[in-house]
Amino acid sequence: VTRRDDRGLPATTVDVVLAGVDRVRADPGLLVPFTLAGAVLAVLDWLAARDPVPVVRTPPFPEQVLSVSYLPYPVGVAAVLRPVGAFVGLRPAYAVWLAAAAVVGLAAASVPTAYGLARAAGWAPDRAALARYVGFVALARLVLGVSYLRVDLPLLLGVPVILVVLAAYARLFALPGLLLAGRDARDALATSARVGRGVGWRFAGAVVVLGLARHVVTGLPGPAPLATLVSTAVVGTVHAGAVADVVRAWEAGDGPGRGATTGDAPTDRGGTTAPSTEP
Amino acid sequence: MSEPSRRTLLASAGVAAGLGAAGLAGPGTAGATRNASAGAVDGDGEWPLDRLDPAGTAAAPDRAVPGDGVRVRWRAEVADAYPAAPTPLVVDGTVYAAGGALVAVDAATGRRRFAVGSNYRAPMAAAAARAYRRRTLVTADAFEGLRGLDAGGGVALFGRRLAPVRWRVDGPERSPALQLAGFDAASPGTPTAAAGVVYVPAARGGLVALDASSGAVRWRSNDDGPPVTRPALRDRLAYVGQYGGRVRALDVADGSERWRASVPERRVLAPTALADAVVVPDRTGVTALDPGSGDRLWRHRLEGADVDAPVAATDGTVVVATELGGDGLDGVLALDAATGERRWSRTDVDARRAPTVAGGAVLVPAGRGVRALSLADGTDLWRHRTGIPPSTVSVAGGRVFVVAEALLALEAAA
Repeated sequence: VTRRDDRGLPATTVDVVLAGVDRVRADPGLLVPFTLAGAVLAVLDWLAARDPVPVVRTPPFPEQVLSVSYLPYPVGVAAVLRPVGAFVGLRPAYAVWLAAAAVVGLAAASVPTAYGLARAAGWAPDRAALARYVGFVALARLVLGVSYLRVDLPLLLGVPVILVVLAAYARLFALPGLLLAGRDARDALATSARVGRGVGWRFAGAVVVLGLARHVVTGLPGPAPLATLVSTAVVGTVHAGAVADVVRAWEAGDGPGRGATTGDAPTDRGGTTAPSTEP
Repeated sequence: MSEPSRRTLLASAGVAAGLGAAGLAGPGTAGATRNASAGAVDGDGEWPLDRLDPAGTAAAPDRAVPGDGVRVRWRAEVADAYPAAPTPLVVDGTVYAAGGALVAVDAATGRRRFAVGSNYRAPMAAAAARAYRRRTLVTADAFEGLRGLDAGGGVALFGRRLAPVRWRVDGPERSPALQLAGFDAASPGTPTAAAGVVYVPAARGGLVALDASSGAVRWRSNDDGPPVTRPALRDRLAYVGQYGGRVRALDVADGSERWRASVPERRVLAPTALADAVVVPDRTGVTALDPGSGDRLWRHRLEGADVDAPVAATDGTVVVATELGGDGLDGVLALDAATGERRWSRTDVDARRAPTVAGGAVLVPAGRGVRALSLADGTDLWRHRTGIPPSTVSVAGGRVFVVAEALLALEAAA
């Protein structure tokens, strides 16, 4: 049973993740859209590793023992990424191929996951909400989808950077759910930050747990894109369930400032876990 | 030698038209097409590999070359000049020099086009890249590993170069997998390339073939032995020398060994693949092997000599730079490619780095300068002094390019 605080939010990092697991256990059909997304992304990774445009391979577990492979929307780890230099001076045919792969990848990473996330939360997002969610995924893929952001930093510099990134991800944890719940981008961003206020460590912990889980999946035997499929199907589903739970709990509770900015928030207050008291 | 023939040496007079001091011939312009089976180098405006072509001949007998004295046409600063730098390459009207930064200058004017990096000191190779309009320039960062760069230097933005690196194969300290592959970031061997594939000797043994476009490893030769030399590629075989007196022929399709032969000297240098012989220099001589079987065709032993550089070779002549220990002088000698018999030798040329053959001349980095000798008889043609010991030269569009205290373009004196 997921323990909850007085606002109805999962009480600890473990509870955040367990809430996601509970959603999947309650509705195993959630695995279907994420498996579909993972399959398409895995095929794209497989093709990318074989075309003549350079890729950077994601170091698998345990070659790289520790890695937090997290994205702020519910998909799995990418087996390969493109270095930024790979995009310069392409022949037209390969430029078209990369553009097509980007469009297909965006569609796979956003449409089924939007369906799965909405299903986990019991929402029926309209076109505008779906468009905002797809836009968010597109922006995240654009910023995080090339390898130059993977940098090896010295420990002294790396730890502060990691902490800053972790804090940002904690504040963004609920964002995809809030977008699908119907909030506009600015409101969703502000609300997501408020959801994490004072309890950011829970979400930061969930980011670490989900990121580690994605990374450990890369240690599976078999071709690297298999990790893309499995991590999206399993970890992506749990991630979506956790986000759905947090947003549902926030919307159902008396979150600070909620009433002032979320007049169009969904009214469905249903959920799969019962609120409990702060431990 | 008659005056006209000394002004611009040419083996084939017909090739001379339109070339020379007027500027560089671009790719695809009239010029020689040579060594087709060895991997084509079309036109005389290019020098895309350390030893010119995949076969490693460093010989362009059809090209125009200054024959009667030279002058500096232009001088371009390199980032960090040092003695005996890698051979400058010439590709698509651009000359590339590795001198700390990788510096690219306009071959016609000497104007700098771009400079990237700060640790590029290794030999280079320019290779066709399937996915890209421009070629991939393969070199190595002194501390990190192999790099495949956009020959155009990436994107220019506010005076800086963004994203010049297409792919990277990092050194062992950055990747355990590459440590297993045998790359040594600090001392990768000289790369060569043919048909969009780059061949790099791994420092811990074996040869690695990579796709020039993606940087993906196609194969690694199965070898735990000592490092191999730069390969010489011809007729689907890659010939490599290996410490311990070994010469091996590898199938370029998968790196499997076709034959191996031995030479009577442990320290073997990079081979050169001719139509009828694989010429293998070693510390004390030169051996010619049958390309199909590895059987020895001839050996020319150099008494007391110390060879420390690959040869330049046409189908008729093999040119060797050697320190002739017998009389304490360094020298150059020319051998008959069919028999190994000595045609001429010079013992008064301080030649320790690899020679180049262009037109009817042998161009040798000699002490602090470049010397040009007649390919026919070894007589002096001209000499150009440099501030520090120069690189091996490349020849394109009638000009001689060399890296010394700066990147220099030499042309026929007026």
